[in-house]
Amino acid sequence: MESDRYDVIVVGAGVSGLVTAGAAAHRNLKVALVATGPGSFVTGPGWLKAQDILCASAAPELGEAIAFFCEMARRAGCPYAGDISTAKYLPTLLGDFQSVALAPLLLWNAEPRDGVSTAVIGIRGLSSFDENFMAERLSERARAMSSSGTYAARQISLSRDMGAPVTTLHLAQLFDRDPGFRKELVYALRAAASGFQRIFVPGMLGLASSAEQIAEFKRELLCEVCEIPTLPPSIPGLRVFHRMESYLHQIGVELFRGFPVKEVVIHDGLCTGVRIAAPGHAMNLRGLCVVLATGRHSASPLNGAYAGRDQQMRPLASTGAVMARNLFIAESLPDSGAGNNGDAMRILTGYRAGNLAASTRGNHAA
Amino acid sequence: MEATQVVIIGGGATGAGILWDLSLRGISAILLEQGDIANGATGRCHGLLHSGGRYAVKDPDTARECVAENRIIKAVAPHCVDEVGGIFVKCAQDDPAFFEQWWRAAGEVGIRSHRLSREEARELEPNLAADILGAFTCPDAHVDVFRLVLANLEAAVARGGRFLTYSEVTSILSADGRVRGVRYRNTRSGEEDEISCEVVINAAGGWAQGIAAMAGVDVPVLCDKGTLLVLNHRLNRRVINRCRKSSDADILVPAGPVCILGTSSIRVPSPEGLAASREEVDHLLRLGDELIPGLVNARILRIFCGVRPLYAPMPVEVARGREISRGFALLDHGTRDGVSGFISIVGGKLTTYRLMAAAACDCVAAKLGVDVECTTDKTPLRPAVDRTTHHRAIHVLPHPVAEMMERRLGPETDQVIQAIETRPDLAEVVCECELVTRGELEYVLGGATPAPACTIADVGRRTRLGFGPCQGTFCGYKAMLAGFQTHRWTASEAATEFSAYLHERAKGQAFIHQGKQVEQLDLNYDLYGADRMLCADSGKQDGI
Amino acid sequence: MRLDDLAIDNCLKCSLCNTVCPVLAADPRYPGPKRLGPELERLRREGISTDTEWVEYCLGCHRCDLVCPNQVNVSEMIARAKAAHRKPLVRGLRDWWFARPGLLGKLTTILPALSNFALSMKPARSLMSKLMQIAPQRKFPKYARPDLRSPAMTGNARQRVVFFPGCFIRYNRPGLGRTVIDLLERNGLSVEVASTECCGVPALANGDAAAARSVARANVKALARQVDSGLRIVTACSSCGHMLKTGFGGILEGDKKFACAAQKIASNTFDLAELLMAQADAGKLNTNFQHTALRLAYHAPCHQKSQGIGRPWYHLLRMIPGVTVEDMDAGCCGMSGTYGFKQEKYPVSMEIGKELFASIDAARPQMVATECATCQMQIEHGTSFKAIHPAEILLQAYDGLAPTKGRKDCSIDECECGPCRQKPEGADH
Ligand SMILES: Cc1cc2nc3c(=O)[nH]c(=O)nc-3n(C[C@H](O)[C@H](O)[C@H](O)COP(=O)(O)OP(=O)(O)OC[C@H]3O[C@@H](n4cnc5c(N)ncnc54)[C@H](O)[C@@H]3O)c2cc1C
Ligand code: SF4
Ligand code: SF4
Repeated sequence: MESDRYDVIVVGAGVSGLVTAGAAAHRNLKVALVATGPGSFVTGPGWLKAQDILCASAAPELGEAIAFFCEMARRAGCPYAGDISTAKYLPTLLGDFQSVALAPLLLWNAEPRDGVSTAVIGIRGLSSFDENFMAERLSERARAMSSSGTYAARQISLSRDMGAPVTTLHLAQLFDRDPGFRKELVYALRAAASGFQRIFVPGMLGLASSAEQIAEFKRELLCEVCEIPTLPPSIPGLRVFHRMESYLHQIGVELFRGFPVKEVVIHDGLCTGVRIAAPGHAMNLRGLCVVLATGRHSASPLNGAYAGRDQQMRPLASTGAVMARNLFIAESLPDSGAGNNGDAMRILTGYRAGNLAASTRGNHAA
Repeated sequence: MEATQVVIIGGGATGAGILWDLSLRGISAILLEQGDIANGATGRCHGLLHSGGRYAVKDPDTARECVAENRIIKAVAPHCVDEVGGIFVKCAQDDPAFFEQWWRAAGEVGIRSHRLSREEARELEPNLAADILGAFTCPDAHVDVFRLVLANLEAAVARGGRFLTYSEVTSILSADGRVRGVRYRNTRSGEEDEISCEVVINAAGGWAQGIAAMAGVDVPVLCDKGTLLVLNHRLNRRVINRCRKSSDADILVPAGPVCILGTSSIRVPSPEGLAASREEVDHLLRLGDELIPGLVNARILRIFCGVRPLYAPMPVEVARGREISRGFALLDHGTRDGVSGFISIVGGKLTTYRLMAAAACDCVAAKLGVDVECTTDKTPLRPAVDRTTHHRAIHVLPHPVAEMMERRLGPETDQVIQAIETRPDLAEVVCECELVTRGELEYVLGGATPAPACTIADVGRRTRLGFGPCQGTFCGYKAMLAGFQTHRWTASEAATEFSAYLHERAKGQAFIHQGKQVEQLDLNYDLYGADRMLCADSGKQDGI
Repeated sequence: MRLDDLAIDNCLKCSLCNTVCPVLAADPRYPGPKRLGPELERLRREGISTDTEWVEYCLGCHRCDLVCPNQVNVSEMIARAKAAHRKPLVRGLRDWWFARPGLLGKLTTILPALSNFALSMKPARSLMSKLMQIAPQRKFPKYARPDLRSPAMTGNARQRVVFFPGCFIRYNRPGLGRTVIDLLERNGLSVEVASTECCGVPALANGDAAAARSVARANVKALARQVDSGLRIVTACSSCGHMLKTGFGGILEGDKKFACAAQKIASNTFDLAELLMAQADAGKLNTNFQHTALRLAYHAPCHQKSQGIGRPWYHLLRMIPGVTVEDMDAGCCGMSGTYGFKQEKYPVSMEIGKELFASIDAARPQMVATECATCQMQIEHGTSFKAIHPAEILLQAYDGLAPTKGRKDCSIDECECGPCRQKPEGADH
């Protein structure tokens, strides 16, 4: 079956694909986003490491790309803080500190602060998070960084029977759906936070909560609250994904969720669309150009069958020839072989790809 | 300095079997192991309880030993054995003359076997290649090596035996041509101590030569490296052997939820620092694929190597790995080299560990003037789980979780269930692939068990935690928290333990070049920032 | 055990599937798709008994499959476990009956009026709830005379398609069947009605592998010939479409005689909207829609999403001048065919539906469009809005007719659904 003609078909909804789709949509392109899952958002807290910025710092438009990403996140209701020239130490899953340049607002204020007392608050029955472990580790690590901030562990109990063991996923779902739960949580956290200037909670404040909801939650708490990363599924990461995805949906990006692209259709060096492996028969999507943002793994419909990419991010065959003039690869790494050079590169290439898609359509129009 | 009658060096199957045997005879003994239990070849083997089929043609004596031991182990340690059965597959590529030779030899050594047509064989094992010619059955089985070693040690402890893990023997103390004791070092704390004894038994497998050297004698042991691939799920129901002269990648053993393909045979200078090469892995996969088409695409969880400690009294230059007898040798260094009170037991197989232990213990008993016969062939290693415990278990746990726990812990299940009954949060499943509960985790970390775990990897050997697809990425973290919560470790110790554990787990995956496990490792990287190409070229390989 | 089924190896244990499972969100005791699917599957292949009652609670919504970045066929694994699951007697009997909607269809259609009356009586319903553990809050769909026939041939020039109505349209809504045929004919296609009844989804969902297999075989036998002669199959029920397209949910796997034909059927099956969208893309859609002022909320059924065809109804409805459509995109409705009828699952079913109900309430449409009959029931049960098949809206738009808005069709005595409970004493509904 032949379907609509899109200006650009973006394959993959990791950070790279989302930015590509966003950048293209902002240039009034008709965008299809084909994806099976949210990339590494499900594992990570959604931050950009300082070292990632470094990897991409050679690119002149990095600042522009990151600014675009931040603007998109703001509009999507999951604002980020930080920029390419900052670096802050934020707590990790292991209670270490990671140097981060940009992070979702809810994570951003968790750096060691001199003289600030922080309560790490756990929830009774919550598995795979231990506030005592976290507080002890953070105290130690902060001391090692000669910060005079202090960390203490506190635990709250929630009255409802959650069915043991409680997971951050379940808490996040309750947070999203149930205003009563949010109220109870605020109440319990406020009690536990008394005497502290700041509290840390495991990432659990809603899978899709909006900036307003969070702002209100913070207001009611009467003190600074930060999330810290947990084992997957990472609620902060998924929140960024969900908000961005629904934002794209709102601005008219058509989402094709659930089935992988099994083939990129290329005729005579021109890409005409993709074939999606839907059950029964493949679904053909036609488009003026295609951006692959699928990471380096088995998900790639080119199956790694390209030798590199050119200046315009087009994949090259082993002969060195451009595989298709309107096919772009937005990802952090294909040229570098192994190794992951991070999310900044993903944003950068996504932003570029969105713009390249716009100029492709321009060419067609001309 | 402590004193005992016998010191056993090596906590593999052989050493553990000796401790049990001596304990049954009322001889006091302490076993010293430099790492955790089954740190050597025992923890890095297929876990095939041989029916004898593999040696029937070439080495009928070893085959006969296997036939007998196969029956005995199944009888005395049923909880360690999964009686899956096995087949020898006749492949079109192989020498047809060998098939008949095998059939005859199998009959002669007493292996129960019958012939299967191609259709019958493929009915039993639907994943076998379509062009096989047929197969023979045999009573092969899988034995859980960690459980077997633990069962021997724990049974021995109940009878007064003792063992120390992470205790490396650094020298053998002797005076006047007599061994008097050993000096050892705790490899975790660095502390040293001595034990005095009347007899030292060298059961150090691939390390036996080095141990013997400590007493000034030479025990020629040839280190024959074998590489094994652990595949994510069972592709076969029974052990699949290729019916031909022993060669590479001709055994596929179903082992718990996974199956293990192997092995190669490469001479190496020492049992330390083993590594698998890419060619070796590809070679094994290619051969495996001949038996089970499509196997190349199956997910590899882990690749590990072990060394077969082959006793090679002939000049090493002429001996080829597989051609040396798999039989074992008992060396009494008193008569052989004039160092009395010192014996070495080398070579052999996992399958014949009990027989080796019996031989060693007979020799020791004679030396000590103890006139008690070996009874390890009749004494069950551990009582079965009683009905009431079972009922209590399925009351507090989902069925498969209870079943897995009972298989692992046996009668000790009772204590874990008791704990869960008072603290329901202990029923949480922390390792989701192998269904390990928090209760079990805290139990093996705690002091109540005769063989407490010191590290997260030790927890794995006792419970299979971290043996599934995530290779400890998620459950290892939870085990770390459990160690912290039970005050085993401080927060920073816990974090250090966990990094070491991730490192160790990553090593077993470092030789996997493609496929889902590489992505799994990347996820690990995303989560913890651990180095993805971790020590591809350095460090030794670790067990399953 | 199938070697070609290596999807189990794909699982990276990221838990993403758990984040979208409606049942897990409604009841945290549910072990979740990751556990019931790939994790237990490894152990099942080892031969460990992993049976648990929880497998009954899987809706078969395929949300877990769709979100999985690694193409693990999670729900198919759970469906297999369901088939191996043993139920207590009464639930077993009830589900046996639920697995065979055609049976009741045949019985009741002999005397539809009488049985509809009986099924809607309060005593009958409370008796059923006691005897059969059926939720007393639910009303049964009405049965009609199954008089859906292939229309007479109209000229040879037209392309022919086979319309697969499935049991619901055949027994309960033959009128909708005629709508579909009309719609297809107005778009230049001539229609043949398939002779078979159920697609097998109810059997599969109720863990009745034997029934599912025999239904699937009957379907393959009947449809293979038509597909071989080059006809395409059209479905209007999303569950039927899903079933046909997935080769009957893998139930014929290993069934040499049928698996291949099932595959062929799969590749030639089209959802009604998918087909119409294809016509639209090719510029062949009849777009003589009259202006129809209508504010719609659209709910995409799970089995529509699991077909991977985008949102064709959403786009088609928006082609009607005057119609505005809001895509709810608010998850699963919780009904899942016979699931919501089961007494023990009713609370979960309603809990799952909450999000959708809330979005519909917030959107305040004039009516809800959704192509799945049981989604319609659930929406009408959980909100005060009427829900109809989008095909009806499309067809009526050709004639400038707006579908009767009005209240939802709640013809049951002492109905206990939300809006009915709130209705003023004596009010008609
Ligand atoms: C790849 C492979 C596959 C195999 N498959 C099978 C099979 O399927 N079936 C079968 O029956 N057999 C199999 N074998 C053979 C079998 O594994 C060995 O024969 C058997 O495990 C040897 O046990 P062991 O206790 O003698 O030695 P080991 O298990 O090697 O034990 C020796 C122990 O001594 C310890 N040690 C060394 N030095 C010191 C020291 N200084 N102080 C304290 N402790 C020390 C080591 O840490 C080690 O734990 C296989 C072998 C290999 C390599
Ligand atoms: S089935 Fe898929 S989504 Fe679920 S845990 Fe496995 S890989 Fe993740
Ligand atoms: S099919 Fe639906 S209900 Fe069943 S496990 Fe998957 S997501 Fe949950």
